[in-house]
Amino acid sequence: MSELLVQAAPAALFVARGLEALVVLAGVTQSVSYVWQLLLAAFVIARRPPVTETAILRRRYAAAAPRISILVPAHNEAATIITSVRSLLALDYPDFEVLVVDDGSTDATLGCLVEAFGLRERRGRTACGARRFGARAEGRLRVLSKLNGGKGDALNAGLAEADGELVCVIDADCVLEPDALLRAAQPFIDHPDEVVAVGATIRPVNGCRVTPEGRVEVDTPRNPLALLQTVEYLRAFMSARLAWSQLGALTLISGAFGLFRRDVLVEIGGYSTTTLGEDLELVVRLRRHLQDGHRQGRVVFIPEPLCWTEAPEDLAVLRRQRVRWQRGALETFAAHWPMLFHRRYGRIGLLGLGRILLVDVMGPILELAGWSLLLLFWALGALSTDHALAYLALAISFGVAISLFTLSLEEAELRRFPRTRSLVALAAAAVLENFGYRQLNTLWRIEGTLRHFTTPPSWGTMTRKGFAPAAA
Amino acid sequence: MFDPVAAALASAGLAALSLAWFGVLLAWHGLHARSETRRAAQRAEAEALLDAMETGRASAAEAVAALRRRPAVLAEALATRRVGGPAAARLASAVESAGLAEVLRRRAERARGPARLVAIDALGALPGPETARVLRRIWFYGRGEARIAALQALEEFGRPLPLGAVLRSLDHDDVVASRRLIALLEVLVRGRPETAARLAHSGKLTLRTRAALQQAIDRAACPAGRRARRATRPRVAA
Repeated sequence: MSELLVQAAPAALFVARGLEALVVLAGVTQSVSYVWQLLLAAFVIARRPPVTETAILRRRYAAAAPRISILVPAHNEAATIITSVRSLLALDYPDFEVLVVDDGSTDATLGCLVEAFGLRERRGRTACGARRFGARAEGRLRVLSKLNGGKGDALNAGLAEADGELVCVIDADCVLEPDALLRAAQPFIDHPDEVVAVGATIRPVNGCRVTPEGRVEVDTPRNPLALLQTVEYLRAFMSARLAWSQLGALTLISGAFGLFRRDVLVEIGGYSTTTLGEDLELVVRLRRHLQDGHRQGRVVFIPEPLCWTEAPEDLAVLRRQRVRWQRGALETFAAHWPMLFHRRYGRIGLLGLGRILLVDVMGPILELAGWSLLLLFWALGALSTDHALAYLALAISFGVAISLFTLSLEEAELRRFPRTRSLVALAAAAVLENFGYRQLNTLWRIEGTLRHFTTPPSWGTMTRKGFAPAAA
Repeated sequence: MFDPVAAALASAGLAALSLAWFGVLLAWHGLHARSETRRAAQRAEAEALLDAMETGRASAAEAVAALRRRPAVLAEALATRRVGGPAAARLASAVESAGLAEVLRRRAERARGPARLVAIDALGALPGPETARVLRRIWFYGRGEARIAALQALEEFGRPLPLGAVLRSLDHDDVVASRRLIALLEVLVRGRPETAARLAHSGKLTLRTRAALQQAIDRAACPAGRRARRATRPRVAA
């Protein structure tokens, strides 16, 4: 036995070294892509004019604003739904309706809505068998109540009922900025023949205060987990999405907030009802459809934070969310992998799908392999403690540098964190996230990958806390 | 695979750079917060003056005198908050006689980017022959958003351009596709529906311009039809 082990050792070492080379190569590629994203985002922000005041925007664009239907799928959202709908109805936009789709909630979501807005059931059902509710006092609000079928199904029910030229898809636990629709509609007004979808920055609302008019008084979360997610959101939106959008290779408009041309959504058959990552899948399918038909269709990203969402504050909920995101990405890749490096799909095939392959499909596996090999080589004495520590220090300082530079992009363009201590807290989180949080994320993504192959899709339960009201 | 000393030096360098950058960021934050506060106070003061003028608590001359040295603030205040009623004419005349209208007209013609657009927006609150001339010039010889802003400003102070002239000058410009332009054309079409119909069928316009005009005619003629069109109920299933 020991002889066999001695004979196998060189081969095992060779495999491990090969794997190490692959991990290092993937790590270097990812690091280069982070730097490149950051530089591109900085270039975009340097060229962008300062954010236009809402009043000026309203004066310029109100007369040309297309009607928007806001679709709000809600499943067991009793804690936040009333605040959300009230803030939606207070939005500063000339022509819109709010369409809440209660997706078979087992809590008091529908009851709360009926009571708070004086809703009455209307005659007849929708094509998918949903009950219709409306209010005399508030004609802009409609509610559909249907059997539970998942988020994609709820959105499709809403899409079939919507009458706006554009549809805005948001999560029920989100608060939109009062001028969110006006800002998001601007690209559609300026380039109606080109733009098919618009996404914007999303930020955690944890720690912020929400005024009755829906204005968010920004502060950093007190919960450490939410604070770490704020740094993550900053990096994802201010750097990555901005850069990918500039390249014309954006494949994701977050399900928490996105504006789409209704006719195009209908044309592609609406949302997928079988995937957990319906937002990613929709945009990839949309772009595939347009490229297949040799049609123009820009997907635009706006760096202004237009939507505030409740980030999970406990590990169990966060884990479920991350597992779901990972599964969604893998499902999307599995459905659309023929686009990868295909000439017909241009940048989307090369860069968009390439990014999903590198970051979502291979990323967690390679990252886990990297950590495991580091520990293994160090334990076997193949890597000195000096080497291991130097590698760790380099990886951490690189991550911190990227986060801090992203924070400076936010400060240069948006300045949404009014207090200096918020910046200090975010900088501290950028350092601390390297000690445990990132590794946990990798493990959750590995779990998502495993579950993708072993269990059928399920959303799991999200626990809502509700929004903190602003001080009077 | 790599030199630990080089890696340690690189990480120390990155850490030092991050720290230094963060220091600069904090300083920038502090400085900017101060200038932002000052600017917000100036804007609030300007808007309060316009309020006071509109309600008769202050004369136009007083309001303008207070803003004489801050044309950028005046431009922003006028672009965001329109003075209505008889006060509008008084304000326009006071701004003109204080020489500020000339400053705004210069900014509208020569400034760049957002400052130019704000100046053009502000001119919409200051009707007068010279302002109209400048705005017409921007429409005919300007580009992109500035043109549309000028057209809107002209409509706002009641000196809209003739529809035919607007349409003829539209070709070869990206603004043709903009919904904002269609909305402005709609106002012109409402004022001259017969001219609009004649132009739409004249064959003198390019395809793109004719399409824009047709959209404006549709919007002007039939808001109910627009509602009916969007009320279609397609079945959706992925």
